[in-house]
Amino acid sequence: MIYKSLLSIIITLLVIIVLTTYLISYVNDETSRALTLENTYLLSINVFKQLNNTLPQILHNDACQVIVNPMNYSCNALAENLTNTLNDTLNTISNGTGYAVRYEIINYEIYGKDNETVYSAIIQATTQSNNIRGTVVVTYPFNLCYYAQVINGIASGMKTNVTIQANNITEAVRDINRYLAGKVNHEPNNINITLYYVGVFQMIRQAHNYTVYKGTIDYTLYASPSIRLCNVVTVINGNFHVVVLINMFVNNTYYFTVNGIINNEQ
Amino acid sequence: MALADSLVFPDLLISIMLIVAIFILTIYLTNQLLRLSIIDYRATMGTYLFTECQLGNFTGNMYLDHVIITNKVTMDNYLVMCPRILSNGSQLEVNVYVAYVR
Repeated sequence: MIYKSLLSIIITLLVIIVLTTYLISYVNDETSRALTLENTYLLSINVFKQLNNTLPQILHNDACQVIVNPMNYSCNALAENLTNTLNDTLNTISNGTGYAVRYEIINYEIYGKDNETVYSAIIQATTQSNNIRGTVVVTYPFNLCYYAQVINGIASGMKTNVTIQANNITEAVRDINRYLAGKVNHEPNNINITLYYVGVFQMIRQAHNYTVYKGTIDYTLYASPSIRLCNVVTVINGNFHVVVLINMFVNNTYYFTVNGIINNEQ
Repeated sequence: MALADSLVFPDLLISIMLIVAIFILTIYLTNQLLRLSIIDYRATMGTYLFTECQLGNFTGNMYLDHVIITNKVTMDNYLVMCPRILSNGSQLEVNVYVAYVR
Protein backbone atom coordinates (compact mmCIF):
# COMPACT_ATOMS: atom_id res chain seq x y z
CA MET A 1 0.00 0.00 0.00
CA ILE A 2 3.03 2.28 0.36
CA TYR A 3 3.12 3.21 -3.32
CA LYS A 4 -0.28 4.88 -3.09
CA SER A 5 1.25 7.68 -1.04
CA LEU A 6 4.19 7.77 -3.46
CA LEU A 7 1.76 8.23 -6.32
CA SER A 8 0.30 11.32 -4.69
CA ILE A 9 3.82 12.76 -4.37
CA ILE A 10 4.39 12.18 -8.08
CA ILE A 11 1.13 13.87 -8.95
CA THR A 12 2.06 16.85 -6.78
CA LEU A 13 5.48 17.03 -8.44
CA LEU A 14 3.91 16.90 -11.90
CA VAL A 15 1.54 19.73 -11.01
CA ILE A 16 4.43 21.85 -9.68
CA ILE A 17 6.47 21.14 -12.81
CA VAL A 18 3.60 22.24 -15.04
CA LEU A 19 3.20 25.40 -13.02
CA THR A 20 6.94 26.11 -13.10
CA THR A 21 7.10 25.56 -16.84
CA TYR A 22 4.27 28.01 -17.34
CA LEU A 23 5.96 30.47 -15.01
CA ILE A 24 9.24 30.15 -16.89
CA SER A 25 7.68 30.90 -20.25
CA TYR A 26 5.75 33.82 -18.74
CA VAL A 27 8.71 35.32 -16.89
CA ASN A 28 10.98 34.75 -19.88
CA ASP A 29 8.63 36.64 -22.20
CA GLU A 30 8.21 39.47 -19.76
CA THR A 31 11.94 39.72 -19.15
CA SER A 32 12.82 39.89 -22.81
CA ARG A 33 10.06 42.43 -23.34
CA ALA A 34 11.39 44.53 -20.47
CA LEU A 35 14.94 44.29 -21.83
CA THR A 36 13.73 45.32 -25.29
CA LEU A 37 11.96 48.32 -23.80
CA GLU A 38 15.02 49.27 -21.75
CA ASN A 39 17.31 49.01 -24.73
CA THR A 40 14.94 50.97 -26.92
CA TYR A 41 14.88 53.71 -24.32
CA LEU A 42 18.68 53.73 -23.95
CA LEU A 43 19.19 53.86 -27.71
CA SER A 44 16.66 56.59 -28.35
CA ILE A 45 15.65 58.99 -25.61
CA ASN A 46 18.84 58.51 -23.60
CA VAL A 47 20.92 59.19 -26.72
CA PHE A 48 18.92 62.35 -27.44
CA LYS A 49 19.47 63.47 -23.85
CA GLN A 50 23.21 62.90 -24.06
CA LEU A 51 23.38 64.77 -27.37
CA ASN A 52 21.51 67.70 -25.81
CA ASN A 53 24.16 67.76 -23.09
CA THR A 54 27.27 67.37 -25.21
CA LEU A 55 26.46 69.28 -28.41
CA PRO A 56 26.63 72.76 -26.76
CA GLN A 57 30.38 72.28 -26.32
CA ILE A 58 30.78 71.55 -30.02
CA LEU A 59 28.65 74.60 -30.82
CA HIS A 60 30.81 76.78 -28.54
CA ASN A 61 33.90 75.52 -30.31
CA ASP A 62 32.49 76.05 -33.80
CA ALA A 63 31.08 79.46 -32.88
CA CYS A 64 34.64 80.73 -32.41
CA GLN A 65 35.35 79.73 -36.00
CA VAL A 66 32.44 81.90 -37.12
CA ILE A 67 33.87 84.80 -35.11
CA VAL A 68 37.37 84.28 -36.58
CA ASN A 69 36.17 84.03 -40.13
CA PRO A 70 32.58 85.18 -40.64
CA MET A 71 33.25 85.69 -44.36
CA ASN A 72 33.79 81.99 -45.10
CA TYR A 73 32.37 80.19 -42.10
CA SER A 74 28.81 81.38 -41.84
CA CYS A 75 25.83 80.30 -39.82
CA ASN A 76 24.86 77.69 -42.43
CA ALA A 77 28.34 76.19 -42.46
CA LEU A 78 28.03 75.96 -38.68
CA ALA A 79 24.72 74.10 -39.00
CA GLU A 80 26.19 71.72 -41.56
CA ASN A 81 29.16 71.02 -39.35
CA LEU A 82 26.95 70.29 -36.34
CA THR A 83 24.73 68.03 -38.44
CA ASN A 84 27.76 66.12 -39.69
CA THR A 85 28.95 65.66 -36.11
CA LEU A 86 25.51 64.36 -35.19
CA ASN A 87 25.46 62.02 -38.17
CA ASP A 88 28.90 60.59 -37.35
CA THR A 89 27.95 60.05 -33.72
CA LEU A 90 24.67 58.36 -34.55
CA ASN A 91 26.29 56.13 -37.18
CA THR A 92 28.93 55.04 -34.67
CA ILE A 93 26.20 54.05 -32.21
CA SER A 94 24.22 52.27 -34.91
CA ASN A 95 27.34 50.35 -35.94
CA GLY A 96 28.27 49.50 -32.34
CA THR A 97 24.85 48.00 -31.67
CA GLY A 98 25.06 45.77 -34.72
CA TYR A 99 22.39 47.93 -36.43
CA ALA A 100 19.82 47.09 -33.77
CA VAL A 101 18.98 50.75 -34.11
CA ARG A 102 19.17 53.10 -37.08
CA TYR A 103 19.04 56.86 -36.93
CA GLU A 104 17.94 59.43 -39.40
CA ILE A 105 18.19 63.19 -39.12
CA ILE A 106 14.84 64.24 -40.47
CA ASN A 107 15.31 67.96 -40.36
CA TYR A 108 17.69 70.56 -39.01
CA GLU A 109 17.78 74.32 -38.86
CA ILE A 110 19.76 77.19 -37.44
CA TYR A 111 18.52 80.66 -36.76
CA GLY A 112 19.41 83.74 -34.82
CA LYS A 113 16.86 84.95 -32.35
CA ASP A 114 17.43 88.25 -30.53
CA ASN A 115 20.70 87.65 -28.73
CA GLU A 116 20.87 83.91 -29.35
CA THR A 117 21.77 81.37 -31.96
CA VAL A 118 19.53 78.32 -31.95
CA TYR A 119 20.36 75.04 -33.67
CA SER A 120 17.80 72.28 -33.65
CA ALA A 121 17.64 68.87 -35.28
CA ILE A 122 14.87 66.27 -35.35
CA ILE A 123 16.21 62.73 -35.14
CA GLN A 124 14.32 59.52 -35.71
CA ALA A 125 15.52 56.33 -34.06
CA THR A 126 14.22 53.11 -35.60
CA THR A 127 14.48 49.80 -33.78
CA GLN A 128 12.82 46.50 -34.67
CA SER A 129 9.72 47.40 -32.71
CA ASN A 130 9.64 51.17 -32.44
CA ASN A 131 10.02 54.50 -34.18
CA ILE A 132 10.97 57.25 -31.78
CA ARG A 133 11.50 60.88 -32.65
CA GLY A 134 13.49 63.30 -30.59
CA THR A 135 14.71 66.85 -30.87
CA VAL A 136 18.18 68.13 -30.14
CA VAL A 137 18.24 71.84 -29.41
CA VAL A 138 21.37 73.78 -28.56
CA THR A 139 21.68 77.49 -28.08
CA TYR A 140 24.56 79.92 -28.08
CA PRO A 141 24.29 83.19 -26.15
CA PHE A 142 25.12 85.38 -29.12
CA ASN A 143 23.45 85.88 -32.49
CA LEU A 144 26.13 84.47 -34.80
CA CYS A 145 23.92 84.58 -37.89
CA TYR A 146 23.37 88.30 -37.45
CA TYR A 147 27.06 88.87 -36.66
CA ALA A 148 28.21 87.12 -39.85
CA GLN A 149 25.64 89.10 -41.81
CA VAL A 150 26.73 92.44 -40.32
CA ILE A 151 30.44 91.80 -40.84
CA ASN A 152 29.87 90.59 -44.39
CA GLY A 153 27.75 93.66 -45.05
CA ILE A 154 30.45 96.03 -43.78
CA ALA A 155 33.23 94.24 -45.65
CA SER A 156 31.37 94.15 -48.94
CA GLY A 157 30.29 97.77 -48.45
CA MET A 158 33.94 98.75 -48.13
CA LYS A 159 35.01 97.22 -51.42
CA THR A 160 33.33 99.79 -53.63
CA ASN A 161 35.28 102.75 -54.84
CA VAL A 162 33.89 106.18 -54.07
CA THR A 163 34.05 109.68 -55.36
CA ILE A 164 33.90 112.55 -52.92
CA GLN A 165 33.13 116.06 -53.90
CA ALA A 166 34.11 118.95 -51.64
CA ASN A 167 34.88 122.64 -51.63
CA ASN A 168 38.32 122.28 -50.11
CA ILE A 169 40.72 119.65 -48.77
CA THR A 170 39.70 120.05 -45.13
CA GLU A 171 36.13 119.41 -46.09
CA ALA A 172 37.19 116.43 -48.21
CA VAL A 173 39.09 114.87 -45.30
CA ARG A 174 36.09 115.42 -43.05
CA ASP A 175 33.80 113.81 -45.63
CA ILE A 176 36.06 110.74 -45.96
CA ASN A 177 36.08 110.34 -42.18
CA ARG A 178 32.32 110.70 -42.12
CA TYR A 179 31.90 108.23 -44.93
CA LEU A 180 33.94 105.61 -43.05
CA ALA A 181 32.23 106.37 -39.75
CA GLY A 182 28.89 105.86 -41.46
CA LYS A 183 29.98 102.40 -42.50
CA VAL A 184 30.44 101.17 -38.95
CA ASN A 185 28.65 103.50 -36.59
CA HIS A 186 25.05 102.52 -37.12
CA GLU A 187 25.68 98.94 -36.02
CA PRO A 188 24.11 97.74 -32.77
CA ASN A 189 26.07 97.85 -29.56
CA ASN A 190 26.37 94.10 -28.95
CA ILE A 191 29.09 93.99 -31.60
CA ASN A 192 32.32 95.89 -31.10
CA ILE A 193 33.81 97.22 -34.30
CA THR A 194 37.02 99.17 -34.59
CA LEU A 195 38.25 100.46 -37.92
CA TYR A 196 41.82 101.65 -38.50
CA TYR A 197 42.42 103.35 -41.78
CA VAL A 198 45.01 105.34 -43.63
CA GLY A 199 44.98 106.83 -47.09
CA VAL A 200 47.35 108.86 -49.22
CA PHE A 201 45.99 111.13 -51.94
CA GLN A 202 47.81 112.44 -54.92
CA MET A 203 46.77 115.23 -57.24
CA ILE A 204 46.06 113.86 -60.69
CA ARG A 205 44.42 116.76 -62.44
CA GLN A 206 44.36 120.51 -61.95
CA ALA A 207 42.10 122.93 -63.76
CA HIS A 208 41.11 126.53 -63.17
CA ASN A 209 37.85 125.63 -61.38
CA TYR A 210 38.47 122.11 -60.04
CA THR A 211 41.22 119.82 -58.78
CA VAL A 212 41.16 116.01 -58.73
CA TYR A 213 42.98 113.78 -56.25
CA LYS A 214 43.19 110.05 -56.28
CA GLY A 215 44.11 107.76 -53.44
CA THR A 216 43.67 104.41 -51.76
CA ILE A 217 42.27 103.89 -48.30
CA ASP A 218 43.85 100.87 -46.58
CA TYR A 219 41.88 99.67 -43.64
CA THR A 220 41.87 97.02 -40.96
CA LEU A 221 38.61 96.13 -39.35
CA TYR A 222 38.52 94.48 -35.93
CA ALA A 223 35.22 93.08 -34.77
CA SER A 224 34.10 90.92 -31.90
CA PRO A 225 31.00 90.23 -29.84
CA SER A 226 30.63 92.61 -26.88
CA ILE A 227 30.40 89.71 -24.46
CA ARG A 228 33.61 87.71 -24.17
CA LEU A 229 32.76 84.22 -25.45
CA CYS A 230 36.05 83.13 -26.94
CA ASN A 231 39.36 84.88 -27.16
CA VAL A 232 39.26 85.63 -30.85
CA VAL A 233 38.38 88.62 -32.99
CA THR A 234 37.49 89.08 -36.61
CA VAL A 235 40.25 90.83 -38.54
CA ILE A 236 39.55 92.02 -42.06
CA ASN A 237 42.07 93.90 -44.16
CA GLY A 238 41.18 95.66 -47.34
CA ASN A 239 41.41 98.76 -49.44
CA PHE A 240 39.38 100.80 -51.86
CA HIS A 241 40.03 103.68 -54.18
CA VAL A 242 38.75 107.17 -53.57
CA VAL A 243 38.59 110.00 -56.03
CA VAL A 244 38.35 113.46 -54.48
CA LEU A 245 36.99 116.25 -56.54
CA ILE A 246 37.66 119.73 -55.14
CA ASN A 247 35.46 122.44 -56.66
CA MET A 248 38.28 124.97 -56.92
CA PHE A 249 41.79 125.44 -58.05
CA VAL A 250 44.23 124.14 -55.38
CA ASN A 251 47.58 125.64 -55.83
CA ASN A 252 50.29 123.93 -53.84
CA THR A 253 48.86 120.78 -52.20
CA TYR A 254 50.00 117.85 -54.28
CA TYR A 255 49.56 115.22 -51.58
CA PHE A 256 47.45 114.85 -48.50
CA THR A 257 46.71 111.97 -46.16
CA VAL A 258 43.79 110.82 -44.05
CA ASN A 259 43.94 108.40 -41.16
CA GLY A 260 41.95 107.57 -38.12
CA ILE A 261 40.33 105.11 -35.82
CA ILE A 262 36.59 104.66 -35.69
CA ASN A 263 35.00 102.79 -32.88
CA ASN A 264 31.33 101.97 -32.70
CA GLU A 265 31.44 101.71 -28.91
CA GLN A 266 30.11 104.78 -27.24
CA MET B 1 7.36 -17.60 2.66
CA ALA B 2 5.20 -17.69 -0.43
CA LEU B 3 2.92 -15.17 1.20
CA ALA B 4 5.84 -12.89 1.93
CA ASP B 5 7.00 -13.12 -1.70
CA SER B 6 3.60 -12.32 -3.07
CA LEU B 7 3.08 -9.33 -0.80
CA VAL B 8 6.43 -7.65 -0.27
CA PHE B 9 8.32 -8.22 -3.44
CA PRO B 10 6.04 -6.60 -6.06
CA ASP B 11 5.32 -3.81 -3.60
CA LEU B 12 9.01 -3.13 -3.13
CA LEU B 13 9.62 -3.19 -6.85
CA ILE B 14 6.86 -0.67 -7.53
CA SER B 15 8.03 1.47 -4.65
CA ILE B 16 11.58 1.57 -5.99
CA MET B 17 10.32 2.49 -9.46
CA LEU B 18 8.13 5.23 -8.02
CA ILE B 19 10.98 6.59 -5.89
CA VAL B 20 13.22 6.72 -8.95
CA ALA B 21 10.47 8.57 -10.81
CA ILE B 22 10.12 11.01 -7.92
CA PHE B 23 13.88 11.47 -7.92
CA ILE B 24 13.98 12.26 -11.64
CA LEU B 25 11.02 14.61 -11.37
CA THR B 26 12.64 16.38 -8.42
CA ILE B 27 15.85 16.90 -10.37
CA TYR B 28 13.86 18.21 -13.32
CA LEU B 29 11.93 20.55 -11.02
CA THR B 30 15.14 21.84 -9.45
CA ASN B 31 16.51 22.44 -12.89
CA GLN B 32 13.40 24.40 -13.87
CA LEU B 33 13.57 26.45 -10.70
CA LEU B 34 17.20 27.21 -11.41
CA ARG B 35 16.30 28.37 -14.91
CA LEU B 36 13.62 30.58 -13.40
CA SER B 37 16.09 32.16 -11.05
CA ILE B 38 18.58 32.71 -13.87
CA ILE B 39 15.90 34.50 -15.88
CA ASP B 40 15.13 36.53 -12.80
CA TYR B 41 18.82 37.32 -12.40
CA ARG B 42 18.98 38.50 -16.00
CA ALA B 43 15.99 40.75 -15.41
CA THR B 44 17.47 42.17 -12.22
CA MET B 45 20.87 42.77 -13.83
CA GLY B 46 19.17 44.37 -16.82
CA THR B 47 17.29 46.78 -14.61
CA TYR B 48 20.39 47.60 -12.57
CA LEU B 49 22.51 48.23 -15.67
CA PHE B 50 19.68 50.23 -17.24
CA THR B 51 19.66 52.54 -14.23
CA GLU B 52 23.45 52.81 -14.14
CA CYS B 53 23.50 53.66 -17.85
CA GLN B 54 21.00 56.45 -17.34
CA LEU B 55 22.99 57.84 -14.45
CA GLY B 56 26.08 57.83 -16.66
CA ASN B 57 27.99 55.39 -14.46
CA PHE B 58 28.15 52.67 -17.09
CA THR B 59 31.75 52.08 -18.17
CA GLY B 60 33.82 49.22 -19.45
CA ASN B 61 34.53 48.03 -15.94
CA MET B 62 31.54 47.54 -13.66
CA TYR B 63 33.13 45.07 -11.19
CA LEU B 64 30.30 42.60 -11.65
CA ASP B 65 31.27 38.93 -11.44
CA HIS B 66 28.67 37.53 -13.80
CA VAL B 67 28.46 40.32 -16.34
CA ILE B 68 30.79 40.75 -19.31
CA ILE B 69 30.94 44.13 -20.98
CA THR B 70 32.16 44.48 -24.56
CA ASN B 71 32.42 47.33 -27.03
CA LYS B 72 30.30 45.82 -29.74
CA VAL B 73 27.39 43.47 -30.20
CA THR B 74 28.86 40.01 -30.77
CA MET B 75 25.99 37.71 -29.74
CA ASP B 76 22.23 38.13 -29.68
CA ASN B 77 21.64 37.47 -25.99
CA TYR B 78 22.84 40.83 -24.75
CA LEU B 79 21.28 42.41 -21.71
CA VAL B 80 21.72 46.12 -22.19
CA MET B 81 23.34 48.31 -24.83
CA CYS B 82 24.54 51.58 -23.40
CA PRO B 83 25.81 54.30 -25.74
CA ARG B 84 27.92 56.92 -23.99
CA ILE B 85 28.59 60.24 -25.69
CA LEU B 86 31.30 62.52 -24.37
CA SER B 87 32.59 65.79 -25.71
CA ASN B 88 36.29 66.59 -25.84
CA GLY B 89 35.67 70.20 -26.85
CA SER B 90 35.83 69.98 -30.61
CA GLN B 91 34.48 66.50 -31.22
CA LEU B 92 32.08 63.96 -29.81
CA GLU B 93 33.46 60.66 -28.59
CA VAL B 94 31.11 57.72 -28.66
CA ASN B 95 31.37 54.36 -26.91
CA VAL B 96 28.77 51.63 -27.06
CA TYR B 97 28.95 49.28 -24.08
CA VAL B 98 27.17 45.96 -24.42
CA ALA B 99 26.54 43.82 -21.33
CA TYR B 100 26.23 40.03 -21.43
CA VAL B 101 25.51 37.58 -18.64
CA ARG B 102 28.29 35.06 -18.29
